Amino acid sequence: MYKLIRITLFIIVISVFAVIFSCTKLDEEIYSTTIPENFYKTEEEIVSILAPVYGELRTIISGRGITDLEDICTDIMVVPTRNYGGWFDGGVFQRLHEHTWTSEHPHINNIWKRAFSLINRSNMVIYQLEQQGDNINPEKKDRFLSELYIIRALGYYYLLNAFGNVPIVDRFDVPEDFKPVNNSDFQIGRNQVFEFIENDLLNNISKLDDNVNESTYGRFNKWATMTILVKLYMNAEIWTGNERWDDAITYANQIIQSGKYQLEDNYFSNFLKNNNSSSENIFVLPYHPTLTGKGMRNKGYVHHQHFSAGPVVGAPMGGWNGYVAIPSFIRSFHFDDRRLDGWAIGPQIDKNTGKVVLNTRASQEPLVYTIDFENIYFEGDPTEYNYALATEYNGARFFKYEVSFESGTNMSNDWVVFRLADILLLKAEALMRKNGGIATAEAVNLVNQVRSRAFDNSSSQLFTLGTLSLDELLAERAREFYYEGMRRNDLIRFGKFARGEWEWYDRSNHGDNKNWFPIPQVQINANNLLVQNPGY
Amino acid sequence: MRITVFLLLFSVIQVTGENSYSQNTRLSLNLKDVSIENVLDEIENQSEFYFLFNQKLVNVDRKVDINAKNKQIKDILTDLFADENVNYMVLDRQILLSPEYLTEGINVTRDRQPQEIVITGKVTEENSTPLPGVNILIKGTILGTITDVDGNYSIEVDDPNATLVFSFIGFRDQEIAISGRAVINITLAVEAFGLEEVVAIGYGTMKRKQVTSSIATVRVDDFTQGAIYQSPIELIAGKIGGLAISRAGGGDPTSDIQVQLRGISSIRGTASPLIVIDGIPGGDLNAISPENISSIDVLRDGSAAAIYGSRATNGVIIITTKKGTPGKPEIKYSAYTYTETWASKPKMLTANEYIHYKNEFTNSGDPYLVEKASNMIDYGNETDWFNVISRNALSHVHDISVTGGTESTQYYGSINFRDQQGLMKKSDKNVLNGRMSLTHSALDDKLLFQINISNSFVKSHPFDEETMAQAALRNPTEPVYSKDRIPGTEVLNPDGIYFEQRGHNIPNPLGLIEQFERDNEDSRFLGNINLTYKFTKGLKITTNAAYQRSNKIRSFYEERNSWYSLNATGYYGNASKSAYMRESRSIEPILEYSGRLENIHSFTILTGYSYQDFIDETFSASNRTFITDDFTYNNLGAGVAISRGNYASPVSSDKFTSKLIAFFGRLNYSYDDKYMLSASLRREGSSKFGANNKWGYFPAISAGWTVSREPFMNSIAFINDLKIRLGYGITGNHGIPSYLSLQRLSTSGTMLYEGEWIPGYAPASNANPNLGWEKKAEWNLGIDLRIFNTLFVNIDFYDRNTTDLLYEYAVPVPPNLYSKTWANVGKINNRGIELTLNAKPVSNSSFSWNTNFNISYNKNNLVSLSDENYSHSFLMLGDIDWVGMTGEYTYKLEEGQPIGNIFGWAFAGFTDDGRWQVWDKTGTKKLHPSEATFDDKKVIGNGLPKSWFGFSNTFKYNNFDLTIALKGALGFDILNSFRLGRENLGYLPNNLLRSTFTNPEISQIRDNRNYITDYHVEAGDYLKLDNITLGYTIPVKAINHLRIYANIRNLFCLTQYTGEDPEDVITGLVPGYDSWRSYPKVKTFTFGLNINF
Repeated sequence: MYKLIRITLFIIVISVFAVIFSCTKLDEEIYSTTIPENFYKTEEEIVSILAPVYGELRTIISGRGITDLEDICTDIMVVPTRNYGGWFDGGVFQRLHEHTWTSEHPHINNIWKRAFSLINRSNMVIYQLEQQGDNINPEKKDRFLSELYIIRALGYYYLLNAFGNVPIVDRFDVPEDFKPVNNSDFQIGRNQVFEFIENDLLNNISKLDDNVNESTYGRFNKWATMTILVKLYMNAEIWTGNERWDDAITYANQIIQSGKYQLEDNYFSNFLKNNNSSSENIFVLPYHPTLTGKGMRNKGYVHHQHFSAGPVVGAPMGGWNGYVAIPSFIRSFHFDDRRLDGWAIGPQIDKNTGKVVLNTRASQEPLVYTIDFENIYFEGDPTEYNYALATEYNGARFFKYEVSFESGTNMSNDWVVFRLADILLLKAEALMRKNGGIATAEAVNLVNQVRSRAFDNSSSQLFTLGTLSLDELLAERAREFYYEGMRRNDLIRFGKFARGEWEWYDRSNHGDNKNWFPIPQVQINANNLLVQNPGY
Repeated sequence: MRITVFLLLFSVIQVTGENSYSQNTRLSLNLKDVSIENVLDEIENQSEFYFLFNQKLVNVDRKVDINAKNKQIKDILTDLFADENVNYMVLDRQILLSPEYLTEGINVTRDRQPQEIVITGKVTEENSTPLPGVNILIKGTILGTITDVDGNYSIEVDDPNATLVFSFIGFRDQEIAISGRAVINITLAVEAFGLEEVVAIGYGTMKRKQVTSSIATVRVDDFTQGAIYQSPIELIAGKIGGLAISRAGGGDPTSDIQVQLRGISSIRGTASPLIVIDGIPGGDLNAISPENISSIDVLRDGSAAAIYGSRATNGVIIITTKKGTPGKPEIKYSAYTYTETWASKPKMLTANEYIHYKNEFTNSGDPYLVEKASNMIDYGNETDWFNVISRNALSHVHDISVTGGTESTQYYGSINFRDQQGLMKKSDKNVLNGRMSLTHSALDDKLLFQINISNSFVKSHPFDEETMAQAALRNPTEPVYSKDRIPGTEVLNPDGIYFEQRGHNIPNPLGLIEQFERDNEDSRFLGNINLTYKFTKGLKITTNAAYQRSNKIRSFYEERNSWYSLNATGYYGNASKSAYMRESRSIEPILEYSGRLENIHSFTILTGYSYQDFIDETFSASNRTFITDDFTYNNLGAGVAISRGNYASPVSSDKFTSKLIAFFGRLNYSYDDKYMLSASLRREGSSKFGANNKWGYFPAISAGWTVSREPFMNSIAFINDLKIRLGYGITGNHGIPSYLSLQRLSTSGTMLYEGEWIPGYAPASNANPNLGWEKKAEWNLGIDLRIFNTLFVNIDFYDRNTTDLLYEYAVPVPPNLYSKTWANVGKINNRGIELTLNAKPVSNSSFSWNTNFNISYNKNNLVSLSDENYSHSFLMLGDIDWVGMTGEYTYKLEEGQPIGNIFGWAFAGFTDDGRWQVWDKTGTKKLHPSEATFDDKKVIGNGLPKSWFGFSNTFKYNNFDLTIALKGALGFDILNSFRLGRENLGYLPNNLLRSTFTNPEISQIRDNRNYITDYHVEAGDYLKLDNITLGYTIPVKAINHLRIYANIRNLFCLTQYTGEDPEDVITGLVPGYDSWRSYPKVKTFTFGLNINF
């Protein structure tokens, strides 16, 4: 009996003390993630840290964000509130169209968040490569670093375009209590951002690959970088107050004269499912049918088309009936302009049966998109309207990208960010600007190169020295680059945005501060050192 | 099977009952023409029987002939008095004769068994004071006695297996099986709310009178009766002040109950109380069945809960399960069956009404209505979509348990089976639960050893909320099946079973049920071993080691021709299977010393260590595009989506762990039960926090003063007891995901790199190495009062301040990589009062009335969301799920305001042409909502009830018992999303609430849509008849206890709220949002029985 007691006591005491003295460690063990100390050992691992940065780049086209807002607050596109209640969302889309946004606007915060996320990821990977990139070929490492500086510069380009005066953060290893600060002077701040972008681009341009091939596809080579430079210099006047037309022309010439890119004969070749063969596209966001998400599908199809539109393209799903063209924009096309085919208008035809698709959501009416919004006007008075009364059929639908779901539920066209046609028209614009806004022969030639492919019989449609004005050029840019994420910037450069007059809502009484967005209130809440833009 | 067991047990009992003198004694008589008196004399001569009777009432002069050979006494007597109205009663050796009219209505019959056992004993209180006047009743009869002035009693029983029921006002009824004993001394425990009862205080127990903090207890006798179908916590719903319990999931048997104690103390940490099952912290309530629970103690305030430190901010609920009791095996069987109906069905248009309004609109001449009518199609059918998706559900629950043992070894075992059908088709839950408990003492009772094991297996089918939403939306003239459609109607799936159309969000509700398999299988294991060794009378060491494990398998299949497959997804057939495993190990050794000094100082010192770890693992795989539906989810490899390259990353696995380690100690001191002091300290570390902040201190101190023991109180006769308590304690919350303080790399994004798509690696989150504990400091002032002997009053005031709130705060990017970081910022204050009244106004042998009333009030204030690093004046939450309302947040969490504020525009009437108007921020100008901005919005309600109450009454009249329980909540608002989304002609041609057409104000709206304004915010206050039970105990011999009962839950609800049921979401940050998708609330009708053998 005493033996049993002793054994029991022994077991209890040992177990108690064993746990007390052995288990006070609270280190975390991780399983499905890893820690930096264990990583960056092989070239494969090091390359893999680039992918999230390029992956993040795809967010620039995500809905309700950076490139989206370039079109839906302009004279090209609108997201009307539908009379069945859709797309009101607290009035956010209406306020974009009316230019009555505030610093609380969620989409404006998206621009900030996505661009700065791109910048910060670039900074981080630059830091990681510098600290831990020894297990990689030095040439590759330098090229990677240069690409990352360019991606960072692109992030700042979008921020400069949207907000102007934003804080500059050029490194990842900042002190713990670091808070980014923008300049207290709006214009000086913008100049600093401009210089920062310019320096990064110029400093790295020579280190980048000048090949145009599979290994540079979807990544920043020399020419894609020069494109950013051209666009930066084109906007130098409105962003810094100093004209840089010659610099823009210099780099545009380098791109054109390199012979690496040619205009496609067919405008739509640039937007096909397999558009990686396009010789015109300079920089794209590559999409894969399954690995890269729904971005391309939403941007190219779902946001625009009607719920019942699936059979039109043989798609397994209909759309969300959101974004449509503003009527005056559609009417700005010549009837023969092939680029108008990038808009779905009128009765929608079932791809397989050849019959008109019916709206099965409601009363089985034929699905017919109307250019105009007839019933938003009160009793026929063209000055009394509320476009929140748009029917589900109103508006031409964006249809520029080939819609193909053969490979599953996503589209895999690569989204076009920069293409040669833009360089040609920008150069033409720079030449005209230098010439007091008057066309030159070279400018007319450049614009006609782009315009001529839009017509079967183009001779009657070409511009001449007499017909090409800056206003015509601005309108031509709309017809060429609709929904490619550059319209707001174009309108600002041509002085037509902040007080712009186009369909519904008179913006002429607005201040020039509408040329830039307010710094999001959420960001000011998170960082009280940020200075709000003038007028907000 | 069940019946066989029943019969077997029955016959065993019969055999033992035969064993008495009267049955063993045989007599032989042969007498002619003698008086009955002579016969009786002869019987007395032959045997030990003797007769008692009144000669004036019983005629014994009658002459009879008798010839009996080797017969039992009762047969002889039956013959003897065959023609006479004389009853006899054989009591052991004594035989009583009486005329029939005297014994009419009394439970004495001719063939009554002879009573041969006299039980004697003494009834005392726990401190050995004799209790005079205690009622003692032989269970199932009206025979009984009462104790004398010294507490002694004597009672004769006829059945050595009978049960005695002891009852006395102010004390808990006690049932004792005689089990062949002749002397039964018992100690009666004071009623549940009494002072002598023992309550669980965490790592120990304590007498109620010495408790200095706020602890509420409900014991098995007072548990909720009727169907318990979601969680064992329903057992105490409405019974404890400060504890709000809501069945927000309606009648969904697979949903969980929401539990909230003393308001919302944390915004992102764990919100519900810590569950401790038989000493195992963090026990999984679903691992045990409600029938296994013997008592539930709730540690409400900080000073009580602080001994559980890091997890105790929301209070601690201590569950004590049933254990073995010494004696012969006692077998209990309880069962009930229940059915459910809609508590109230949303009032949508019927097919006839739909056609009526279509015609009316067509002929109205109003262009708006004509246009609407043109889209309203008559598909020629009459379908009540709510009927299509619901059913007459029938559920049944069985529990059988056996307990018994010797003085040194006791056992308890039970099997529990629940087959629960939900009101919605295919929604069900099937549970098999086994539990075993073994207690053994050895070494002269110095070593106590206990093992508890439970295992539960659950198969269930959850409900897809989309079904409810689509049933409300769908045109009532549409057919359910394609075959019933009018010829020529365009249909998406002409060959399919269910009538489907292409379009935006209108899948066939029955298709949503029938074309989807959602099979959930859970198994849970909960086991612990508890060893106690008593070194001396006061010193003991206890070690409790526990292991918990739950495995879940989730299987899913969507048929090839489901609406989604046909209309939206591009795949045909979609299957997945996922497995989850969670395990937790804990060990808690405790050293305790308790003693008394000079009989006036008593104290307990306790010190302990606690280790617990948690491991979570997940695995899932899926595939799509199947050629046949035959495999469902059983042959994932048969799908072709993966092999065709159309389906990325359909396989995933994950694993994460965390650990808690603590040292703790406690001192309890009592001076003559008059002045009490309790102090505890826990130092606890969690692996989840940053290297600098892993450890935290959680101290508590509380004191009590029993005023009624002071001499000056003697003169106040009506106050029996009065105690004042004051406590302060600090508790913590670590309920956030693991690894947030670490810099980690995880897979992120893909990139086209030199022609190949490569995976990326990036930091998983912003690391915050300073992440630490969320802490709550709480003051509690309590008063316990017993007056007029029978009324117990308990009042608690509390003030709780949570600081260092864990929340994902917006941070600047850069320098941060992500825009949100977990950090400790912010403060919440909750203060409130709880009042509980318990009384037994009437208690005698034939009638008793027990009543409990509790009400609590809580005031919540989000004091701050900012500190020097993080600044937020408010946060927006609660994205409304309606077309056109994407990103419209409806709840505002604002500094200086209570949690649960509903945020929207103030309704300012309609214009003459039926357009919405809202007030601008100045409250002077009317705007259309499309012109109004965020700045014009304001707080238009609050969804958190300020007050809850419960009122339950139990009446017993002879063998009948009746329980009526009411509950309710006051001072809160509900955003009626059903009206918001289904009360506007603009939403035609989908179906609408009838009120859209009948309410003149609403039918005049010409705005095509609704906006979030206070027009759809309604007062939610309600009073509910939550539970009514009528039971009858059938006096059946040979069965110790047999009771049948009927119960109705949620019978009616008094409220102004126009939605389904105001009992709604009460936890979380978006309370009071009555989602139009949620599972319907139900009324439940139960019939059940309990048998003890």
